[in-house]
This record gives sequence, C-alpha cells and structure tokens, in this order.
Amino acid sequence: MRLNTTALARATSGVTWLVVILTLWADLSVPFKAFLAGLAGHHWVAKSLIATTAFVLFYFLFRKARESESPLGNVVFAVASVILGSLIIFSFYLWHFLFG
Amino acid sequence: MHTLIALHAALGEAGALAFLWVLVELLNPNEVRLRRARIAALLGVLFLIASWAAGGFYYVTEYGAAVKPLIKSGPLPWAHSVITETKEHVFLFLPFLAILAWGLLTRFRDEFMQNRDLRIATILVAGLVVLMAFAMAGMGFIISSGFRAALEATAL
Repeated sequence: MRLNTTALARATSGVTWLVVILTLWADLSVPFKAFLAGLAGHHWVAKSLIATTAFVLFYFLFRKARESESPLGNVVFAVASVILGSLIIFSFYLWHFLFG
Repeated sequence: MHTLIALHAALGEAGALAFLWVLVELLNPNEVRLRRARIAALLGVLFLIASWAAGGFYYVTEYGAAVKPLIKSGPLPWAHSVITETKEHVFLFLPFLAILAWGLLTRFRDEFMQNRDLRIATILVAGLVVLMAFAMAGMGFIISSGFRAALEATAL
C-alpha cells in the first residue's frame, strides 16, 4: 500500500486540533471529564485512544483526496498546528493556575 | 526514581536522537543516507510510542495517587498544574508527528535528492520532533524538582 502523505499531514493537523479541543473541554466541563474517564478508566487514556483512532480515521478519510505533488504546504500547516496547539494548551493551564 | 520514569525518559531521548539523526542525514542526502534516515525514523517512531506507553502507565498507576497530591501541596504547585498538565497533553502530538516524518521518508524515498521542498518539509517535522522531545525532558525535570521540593518541605 502506497502512503498518501497529504492524508498523513492532514490527519496530523486534525488530531492536533482534536486533542486541543478535548483537553480544554475536559478541563472546563466536569461531566465531560467524567465521561472520558468512564470510557477508558482515566481521562488521559481516553484522550490517547480517541487521538489514535481519529488519526487512523482521518487518514482513511483524507486518503480519498488526490495526493498533492508537493507535501510542503500540508506539512507546514501540520507543524504550525502543533506549535500553536502546544502554545494554546500551555497558555490555558497557565491562565487556569493564575486566575482559575 | 521509578523504573517506569527512567524507561519513559530514556525511550523519549532515544526517539529525539533518532530524529536528530534523520535531520542530519537529510542535510545532504544520497541513497545510503536516505536508507539510514528511513531506519532512524522507524526506530524513532517505535521509541516514542514505547515512551508514550511507559510514561502513560506510570502516570495512570502511580503519579495521580502518589506524586500529584504532594506536588500540589508543596512549594511548587505549578509544577503539576501548569507543567504536568501541559506535558501530558502536548506529548500526544509527538507520535503522530514522528509517523508523518517516517511516512514522508518512506513514500518519497530517493526523490529527496532532487526535491528541495521535500527535504525542507521533512527537516521541519524532524526538527520539531527533536525540539518537542527535548522540551518534554525539560518539563520532566521541572516536575521531578516539584516533587523533590515537596518531599523536602515535608521532611523539614
């Protein structure tokens, strides 16, 4: 099976934003955190399993799209998503600690 | 130090070094260097996934019950509230980034020698994996310091 790198880069971006949403949502909503804990015994394990499943699903979803000749644009978007997602998560917990 | 933490840190650093190796091989690629880069990337993916499993198992079985309450009641509570919380979630990006780098190397194989965009794309991903993996080690040091400070405060 030939890998589709456009789908791989888009799946990476998709999972990044999904993890950011799950992280912030679980910390702002006690029922949602409890729901995640109920899924896998611990909210972090649930997030890990959801992220892994979503990565596979996103890959097969985006795989139907034609692979672009240069992966640079999609890769730059994935890298920017990870950097921005990391900064959002860090800022959120810093804000939560200082003012929460 | 707990064995699982040592394993988590060692595997994470091995993953970082594997992607640093990938980055170096891509600076001036030829067939032999690209083959080595593919092997290093595959090893890096495996190391990071194993580090994820070891760190996750420790976090779920030991950290929450024995370490987190002590850090939160110690002199450096932000070591958990900001650093651990950030680390446990940002780490989730790493294995997928690593798979992306390995996927690019596997899919385009020897095209890297002619295509500058491919080299830039893969160097960007591998570089980010290296920086993030070393940042994880730094955060681990801060968390350990928070725990040590809490233990010292309890003992004194």
